[in-house]
Amino acid sequence: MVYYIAFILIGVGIYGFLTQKNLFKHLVSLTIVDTAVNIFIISLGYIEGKEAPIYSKYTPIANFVDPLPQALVLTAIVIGVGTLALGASLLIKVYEKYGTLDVEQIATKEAEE
Amino acid sequence: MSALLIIIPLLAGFLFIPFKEKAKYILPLVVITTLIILLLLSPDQTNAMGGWKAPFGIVLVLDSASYYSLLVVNIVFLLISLMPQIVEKGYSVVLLILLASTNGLVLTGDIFNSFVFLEITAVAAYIIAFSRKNPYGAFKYLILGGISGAFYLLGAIYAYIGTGSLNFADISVNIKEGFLPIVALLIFIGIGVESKIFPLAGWVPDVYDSGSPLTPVILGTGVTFTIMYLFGRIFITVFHGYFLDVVFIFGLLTIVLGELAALRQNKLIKALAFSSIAQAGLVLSTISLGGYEAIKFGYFHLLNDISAKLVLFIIAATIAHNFTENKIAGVSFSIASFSLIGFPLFAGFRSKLLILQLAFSKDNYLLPAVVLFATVIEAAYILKWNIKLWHSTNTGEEKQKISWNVNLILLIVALLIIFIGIFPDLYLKMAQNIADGLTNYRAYVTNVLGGM
Repeated sequence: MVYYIAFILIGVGIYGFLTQKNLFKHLVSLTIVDTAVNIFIISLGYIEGKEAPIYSKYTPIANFVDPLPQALVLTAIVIGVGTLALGASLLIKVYEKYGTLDVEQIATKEAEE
Repeated sequence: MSALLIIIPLLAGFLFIPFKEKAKYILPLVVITTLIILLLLSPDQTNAMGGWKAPFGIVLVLDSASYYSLLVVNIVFLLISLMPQIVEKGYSVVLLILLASTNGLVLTGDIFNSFVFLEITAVAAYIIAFSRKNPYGAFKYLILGGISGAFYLLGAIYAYIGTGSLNFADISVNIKEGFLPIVALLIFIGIGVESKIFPLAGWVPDVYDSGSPLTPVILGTGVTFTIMYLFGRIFITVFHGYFLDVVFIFGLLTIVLGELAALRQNKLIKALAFSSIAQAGLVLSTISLGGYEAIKFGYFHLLNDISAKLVLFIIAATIAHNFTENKIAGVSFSIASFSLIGFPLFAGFRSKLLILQLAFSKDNYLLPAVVLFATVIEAAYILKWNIKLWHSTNTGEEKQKISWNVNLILLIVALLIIFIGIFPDLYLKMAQNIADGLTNYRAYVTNVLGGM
């Protein structure tokens, strides 16, 4: 079930790239795609009725879900946040240069130069 | 030991963030150190990081393919670090991070680790694309790169479902038949943006035209070579040549559309950017012909292409007006551009001839037809630009002088191109070693996983 949510979200993100004219919404779409991929990875490692993979004296029987996807997602989230921050700072520079974030208006301003 | 190739540039990069201005003095030292370490290392060794054995932990694989690729990438970085004039203020730190991530990308034997290094490379590339105020081009690159990164991650995860492992060698042995198409497709989309395949290469002209010579030079030579190596490693060593027939079609499309677009440009650097896309398509379609010889000639052509592009991009981004005052640069430009077309006596002729002979011997007439068509178009616009730049009467107010060290390096690379055109053995041997490492699946697997 969760798989469907992940793929619907990827579709929403790609729809955003194709239809929106505001550059900030492109950045939001990128975040949606990233999140969808992360949800998909997490859902793979989940096994019904198992516990969080923390090994201690209270969990003598290792009745765990797959811990590897969770570790991967942690890394992927960090990378996604870095890219998001860089993209936002680039958008500030775009706005300083053109005075707008609209794709069509930027294109006309570029053509005038 | 091979981990030092990643650690030293990364550490130097982070240590010099407070002293960004001084970092340009440390860059050549770091690159020379990594080159010395590389020459001291012997090929055919694997290092398990943190002592975790191969299928469970991350391994760094140094076989003949990754050894020679590292050599090429580090030499490119050395040449760039010896020309501090073309590096914008403060960008030396980014170059150090880029060096660490490209070295890691070549060395790694783990698919998720390669995703991480690919993203670091991409982020460094976005920052370099921004140099000298080109935020819109850099942002477009970031969006495309971000999506392709997500697809690469999905491909890596599907490989994990299909095998239960993230290790390249383990994936190549154990992947289930049913998972192969989707993994190959997703990873192809993932690498497609960086390797400049046709529908995903729209960012290239905007980014290369950032105004700073550093952007096209480093992205068109060092990073391109690394990505092409990664492509070979995944599609040849891991998938044993599966999916290459699809890549072949996309490569041909890339050649034709890239050259046609290059012909229509009225700005030199954009024409060269499109030519760079077309050459990437030629390399990919040659590699996808399949077989040892095709891979060897593909990488040989890639080596010729990046040598020519190193010269062309520096000149195109610094003096795109007139050669009569910069004769040395002009001569280097002409040599490199003739090598790009493939005139006899220059390096490009050798590789194009070998590719044509190989394609004919395989009864493949599509690739030769496309290559010859592309060569005609290429000759048209390269000759047009040469005539324009040598005979331009426009002595405008901008008189940019190229300093002696840049001139010297341009001349050395240009002479190397002629040398390769007459005695191609040096590059052919490198390409042969890369092809050896990539096609020898069994040696790779035993190298990584131990005797199995």
